[in-house]
Amino acid sequence: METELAASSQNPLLDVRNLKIQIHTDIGVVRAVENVSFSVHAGQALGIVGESGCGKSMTALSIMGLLPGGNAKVADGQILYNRSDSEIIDLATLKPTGAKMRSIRGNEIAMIFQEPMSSLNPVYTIGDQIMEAIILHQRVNKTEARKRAIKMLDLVGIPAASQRVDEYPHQLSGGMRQRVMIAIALSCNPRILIADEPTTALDVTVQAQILELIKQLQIEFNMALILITHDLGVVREVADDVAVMYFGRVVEHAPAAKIFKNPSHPYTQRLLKAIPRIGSKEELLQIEGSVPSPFSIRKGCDFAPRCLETVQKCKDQLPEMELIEAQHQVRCWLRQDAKSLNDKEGAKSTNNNE
Amino acid sequence: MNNTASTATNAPTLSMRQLMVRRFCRNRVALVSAIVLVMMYLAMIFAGFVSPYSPSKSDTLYLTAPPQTIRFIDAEGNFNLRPFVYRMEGKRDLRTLTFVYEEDLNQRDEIFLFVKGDEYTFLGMTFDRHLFGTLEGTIYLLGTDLRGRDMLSRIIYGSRVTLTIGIVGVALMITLGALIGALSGYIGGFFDAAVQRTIEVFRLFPPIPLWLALAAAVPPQLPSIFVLISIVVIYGFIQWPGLAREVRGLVLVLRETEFVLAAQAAGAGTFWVVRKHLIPSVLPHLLVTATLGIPVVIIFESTLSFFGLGVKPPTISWGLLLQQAQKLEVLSFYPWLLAPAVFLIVAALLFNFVGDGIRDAVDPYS
Ligand SMILES: Nc1ncnc2c1ncn2[C@@H]1O[C@H](COP(=O)(O)OP(=O)(O)OP(=O)(O)O)[C@@H](O)[C@H]1O
Ligand SMILES: [Mg+2]
Repeated sequence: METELAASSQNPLLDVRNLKIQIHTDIGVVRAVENVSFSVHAGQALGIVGESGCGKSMTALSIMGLLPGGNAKVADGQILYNRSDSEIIDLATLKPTGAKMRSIRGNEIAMIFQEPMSSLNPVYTIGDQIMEAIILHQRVNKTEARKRAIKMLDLVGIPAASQRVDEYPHQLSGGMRQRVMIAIALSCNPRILIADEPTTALDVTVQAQILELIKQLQIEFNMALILITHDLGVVREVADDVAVMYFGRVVEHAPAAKIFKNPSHPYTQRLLKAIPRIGSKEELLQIEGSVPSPFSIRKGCDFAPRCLETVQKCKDQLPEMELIEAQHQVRCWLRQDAKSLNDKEGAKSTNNNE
Repeated sequence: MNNTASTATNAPTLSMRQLMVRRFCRNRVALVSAIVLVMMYLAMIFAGFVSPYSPSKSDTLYLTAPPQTIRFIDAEGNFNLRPFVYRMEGKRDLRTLTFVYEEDLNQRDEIFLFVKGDEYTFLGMTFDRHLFGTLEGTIYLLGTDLRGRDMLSRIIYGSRVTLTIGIVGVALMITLGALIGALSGYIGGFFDAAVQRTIEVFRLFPPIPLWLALAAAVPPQLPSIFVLISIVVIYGFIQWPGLAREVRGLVLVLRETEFVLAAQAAGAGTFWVVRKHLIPSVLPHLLVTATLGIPVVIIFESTLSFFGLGVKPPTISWGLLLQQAQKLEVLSFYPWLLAPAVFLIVAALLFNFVGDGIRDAVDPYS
């Protein structure tokens, strides 16, 4: 995994830099996403984790150019898509309804949504809807598109694909529908797949199957995968890299192995404790203090009001993302201070040794 | 993986449309109404064949003759397998000095199918066979008008104008309303605001004076087709704003549904989403609006023609046919001249029944 990273680190497929998304509402501006940066390479899976409302979906939608009409805007930052070695496009500056964005959306960057129940149009057969995605981007006739649709259904593990292609969404179970959504997303051979909570709406037994399928197809198609979830357990199985978001900001970013072995940000530690689920989610919500209002003026660390280790500095000043070890970035004063202390001591001891 | 597969339903694949058709067919009134309407439209298409006479042929022997009755049983009470009519005999009533028609019980004219009669053209060819008729004598099932023309034939020919104008007017209204409403709701923003203000302006026009003014503004020497076009256009322009509002409301809800987002994520543009996802989803609603809108146009055309502002002879419409029934004396002496009104009312009712049936089929819970 790390060798993979090293090999392709020169040119990530998608490089999000300092992304800021603001939503203009009647009562004020919601800063849904603040200075989020991450990148993904071909064949790499990035997990974005965070609780509800922390801006995960907004981040994903901004990459697709599908921020909700009119009032949500990318206020700052870049979404650099490496279309080819000679063409790097900033998706944030593309016109969302323009031809170029449309030729990328669904074709080179595809997305799967949370609700497989309502993501399919009840009026059309599932075959129609896979064919739609193919016909939107490729000059193929109907018979050819249909053949491809059946192939895609086969690929995502729907049995008797040549018959089921003519069925309507209401005839399929939730898991089956999510498979169809995956078939639609992959029908044009995308280079990047964004999955926004693809398993949240499914029951637990099906969740694992769908995740396994996504992972397997990601490797098969050598896609970059951005997996969005509020469940660290999901990330553990699929992601190579993990970005933990809190209140519109990335607070910890590291290879998955490091996050799970050595979670550093107090929020990440909380999340990890919440994995055994039973009762612990409540505990998380019962942390003293509350989630700040999205309209509030931010001062200091966003997590400070709920953090058990808060010191005065946390309340006054926002920490930056900093490396605390190789490839492991954290946005926390305590960890950063601890690291610099360590470094100093390390330096001292090496000095002493000399 | 295979576990989920085996839970596959074995129910036959029924599309939403098929389900709606099923529910519609369960509604007897609506189904029968639909069938009758289809028959009326078929008669309209094959007007030349179905009507026993040419609509312009006047029979000076039978001016304002009353309807003849189809009989199986003759005056002596004998059953006759082949239906027949008694020949009409015109006489001057010596006491009132009016001209009256009486059935001559000695002369029966049997009714045959596919009889030769007046020539008519269909698809550029000339034919002379009619669905039914008599070999000799006359068969005026709805009587004749003041100039001795067969009312039934005139009504059948008149339906060409009356029944088509409803469909054309509604088609225009639906196209404008659905497209503008869907785009307005889907695009939102400035376009939506502009459309909404336009709609408000359109809705301020009082419809009836506008119709009268515009219909009257068409120069009388122009052929009736211009009047018809203006009626259709006026109807379309007056009615689309209401529909556009409704469609916009529906689209505002649909826009937030995940399948629209999913279609966008697949790379669909605005027009694609509107045409392939939004319009099909509001189609049932449009269908109801259309069936309920058709009788409105029909009645309006008839009203205009009745007042002499609509079509002009030789073009025939049901409203125009009613013109001759304006005078009270005509009504009391020749009530059969009111037959077009019966057809109008029946057609309007049938459309309403069908519209209600569709509404129930589309949304069984409302
Ligand atoms: N249409 C909107 N108007 C105003 N605020 C919005 C709107 N949509 C989202 N937000 C706000 O933007 C922030 C980020 O929302 P987002 O949907 O990205 O969260 P999320 O991390 O995907 O959460 P979830 O896990 O619930 O999907 C939230 O604080 C939310 O309140
Ligand atoms: Mg979300």
